[in-house]
Amino acid sequence: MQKTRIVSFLLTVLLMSTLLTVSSSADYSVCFNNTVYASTSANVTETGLLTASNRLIGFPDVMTHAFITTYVEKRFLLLFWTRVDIGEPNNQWVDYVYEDTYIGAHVVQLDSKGTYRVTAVFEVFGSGGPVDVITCQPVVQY
Amino acid sequence: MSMSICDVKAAFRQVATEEFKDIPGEDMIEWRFSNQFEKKMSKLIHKEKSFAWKYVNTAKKRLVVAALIIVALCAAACGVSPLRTRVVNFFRRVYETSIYITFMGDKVDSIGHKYTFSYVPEGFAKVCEYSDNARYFVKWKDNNNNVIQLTQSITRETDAYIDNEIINQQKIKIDGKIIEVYTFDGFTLAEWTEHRYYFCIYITGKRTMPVLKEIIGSLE
Repeated sequence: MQKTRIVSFLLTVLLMSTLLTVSSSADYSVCFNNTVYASTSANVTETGLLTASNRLIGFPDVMTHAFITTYVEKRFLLLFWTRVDIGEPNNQWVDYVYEDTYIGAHVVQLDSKGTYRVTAVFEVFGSGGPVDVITCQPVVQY
Repeated sequence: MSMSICDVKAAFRQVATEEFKDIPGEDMIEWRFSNQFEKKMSKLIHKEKSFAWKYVNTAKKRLVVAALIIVALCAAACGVSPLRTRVVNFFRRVYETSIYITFMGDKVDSIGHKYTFSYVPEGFAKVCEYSDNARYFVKWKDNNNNVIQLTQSITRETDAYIDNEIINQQKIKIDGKIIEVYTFDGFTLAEWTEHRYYFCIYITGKRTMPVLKEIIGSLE
């Protein structure tokens, strides 16, 4: 009986992890009042240097400014994420953008192997409507 | 007439002997197992010798093992990128307000060769160049403050969103490449995959489609 319970538990964990892998981080409720394009790329070198690169294009003469908040999380116990210490307040980088196009990156040295997720939240303000909040979440392995 | 218990037992024995006197003894019966039975038994004996027998010797155990194999195969199929694919393609999810873009295929995780345009319209000059471990970016500008911006991104871990409400979309083909073109009053955005990288060009000012094609076609 106990064996059956253990097997059932393991099967549930496996199924959950499979579903989590398949499901996408895409958020379909994103508003694009002031934003044309938002993108985040993440890269980890063999030595553990993680780069989070953000790109933003706003509507010309519509977008006024934007805040891009970027942070890095490490996965533990398959389902949970803990924020990586990057030596910044709240362990996040905040970029203030006052032009309608932007490209920039942040780097952090990772101290252990694992699965890392970069989250970049683009908050784009302008005359096109309420603030756009767009979240990009690439996941990298080190 | 009264009978002792011994007499009763003797009577029963006599009757039983009479009953079975025509039945041949065990050593006199000729018997032979069918081939099918022999095969089944040898299979069973062989299975019992196998180290995995204790995991599959009941129907329940077999069911659990089969379920585990199916889950493992599904997980592997989702987790491993196709080995035979040598190209990178867009993976798009179109929502009401936006298009979510990611990539599938044989993706690249670092910028090797830095691509640029050998042709930009007259009057444009390179004003800015930028690179990090995930992107390469070049910007040209003319005297009217119109810009051409080329972004080359890695495809292994890049997420992108594009507006799907306001800007107009169309597809064009240049040298077999499919280019997604987004136009709006005063700017053009185009994106495509080439050399397993993700390219995005942003141009302000009025540009005709032949000029856009010429610019994109000059990528080197």
